[in-house]
Amino acid sequence: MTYLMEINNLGKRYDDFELSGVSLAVEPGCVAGFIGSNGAGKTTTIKAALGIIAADEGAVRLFGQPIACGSPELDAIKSRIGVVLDTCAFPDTCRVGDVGAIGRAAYREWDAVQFAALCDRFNLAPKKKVGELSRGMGMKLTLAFALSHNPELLVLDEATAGLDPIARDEVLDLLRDFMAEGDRGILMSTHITSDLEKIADEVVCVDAGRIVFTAPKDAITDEAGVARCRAADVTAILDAGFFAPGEARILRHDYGCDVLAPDRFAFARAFPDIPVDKATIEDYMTLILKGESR
Amino acid sequence: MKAMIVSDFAVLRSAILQLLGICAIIALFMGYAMGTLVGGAAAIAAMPPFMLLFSLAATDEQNGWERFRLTLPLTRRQVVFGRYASLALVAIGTIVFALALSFLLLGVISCMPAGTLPEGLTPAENPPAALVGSVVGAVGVITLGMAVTLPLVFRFGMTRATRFVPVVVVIAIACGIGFFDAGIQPTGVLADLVQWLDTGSNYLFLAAALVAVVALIYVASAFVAAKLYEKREF
Repeated sequence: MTYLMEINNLGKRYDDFELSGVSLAVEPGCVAGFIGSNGAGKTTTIKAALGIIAADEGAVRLFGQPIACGSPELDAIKSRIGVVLDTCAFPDTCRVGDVGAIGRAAYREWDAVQFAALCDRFNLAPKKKVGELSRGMGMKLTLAFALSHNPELLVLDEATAGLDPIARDEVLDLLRDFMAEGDRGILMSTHITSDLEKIADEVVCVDAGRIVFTAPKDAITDEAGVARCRAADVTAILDAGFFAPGEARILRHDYGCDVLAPDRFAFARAFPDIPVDKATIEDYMTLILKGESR
Repeated sequence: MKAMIVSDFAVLRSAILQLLGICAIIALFMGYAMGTLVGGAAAIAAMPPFMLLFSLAATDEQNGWERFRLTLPLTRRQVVFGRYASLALVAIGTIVFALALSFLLLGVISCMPAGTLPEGLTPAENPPAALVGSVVGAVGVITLGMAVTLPLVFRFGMTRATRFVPVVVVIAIACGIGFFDAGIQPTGVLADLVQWLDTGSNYLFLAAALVAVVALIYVASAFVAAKLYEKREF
């Protein structure tokens, strides 16, 4: 299969941070959620994948073609990618109409009608200056720009951050419309994991520059669960051998313990007296990253 | 490269409109205060290119625009050459504007009764060749300044480059002062050439020669900047 984006063993060293062995892939028809705490390496990974920075090791393929920072292949491929970074990057003095003019000059496939329709849908008046837009409106403008050149891959870095819940839902609707054509894909880096529960097919988590887990979203939100235990229950669970050594993830707090159950149905059968809730992506990530390993 | 020029002028549009008004006022005041239109024309010709260069460089660093721009289908060389082209267009536009304004003022002055304004503002004291020479000369000097500044801006970004640009300018001025203070004077053929250029009728030739030399340096600077920008990370 030709992936839209394929990152293998990506590494990048800074004085105070190292990204190492990062691998992820975005299949056609797939929305890959990219999560992790602040400074975990999400933006560095995205910048390396887009050739904004040069990787120290590893390989990036976009649409099957190997690319490197500054390579001619990359510059041709960039027209097939729509990018939304964490801020509305257009200069404050530009008007919404100017952003359309930049798109028309930059992209051969620029669809002015689509851009106008999206601006209209988002209430972005052509005469409005970028500097006058709220953060949410700015992100909508960037999204309209990213969607108006018929990209096959969308790369979103905290694109829904700062949007109110209604605006976020609008954006997610737009992303669903984008994905209606099956051969497209999205890499969506976000802290708002509830957005990923609505749209993602796969979740990749990075922490301290390394991939911690890659899992289908359904395996997290449908199969996995969080057992709400007392301290004595934890001992019983561990003694029962339900988890292989080192695979249990336990988060202790003032009123009890949470235990991650990768298969909550199996867990419920094994421990019918212990309540198990469905896991959210946030629960799963928190237990994996902060949970005690036993 | 077209996208780069379009984005640069979208950024500059409001600044350019403001500058045109400011330049017109400055031309009037400086011309009157200096008692010559030639000096006023040179002053307004020197302003816009450098000011707009720094406007663009500052905008690059706002909102991560410079980083986002690299996600567009633009090569880094296109970014650099596009910026140089934008500023070259600004320089050409400045020459046209400064000359148009100067000749317009000259036309207005010539319609006024004799003795109303200082004699230095009359058409006789401000021949077209001198006006062209002063405007092109001023833009040429500023373009040289841009040729020095732009590679630094592309390599270090506006914030850090502003620390280096004054250093480079001070060194250049110090070298110039040292050169002329040493008493080196052109002699022989060079002295004849300088004398010939110094006559009013040859200002146009001087302006053309200056444009050619500055253009060469500006193009060379663009290639240096492109090389420096290749390795820059954001």
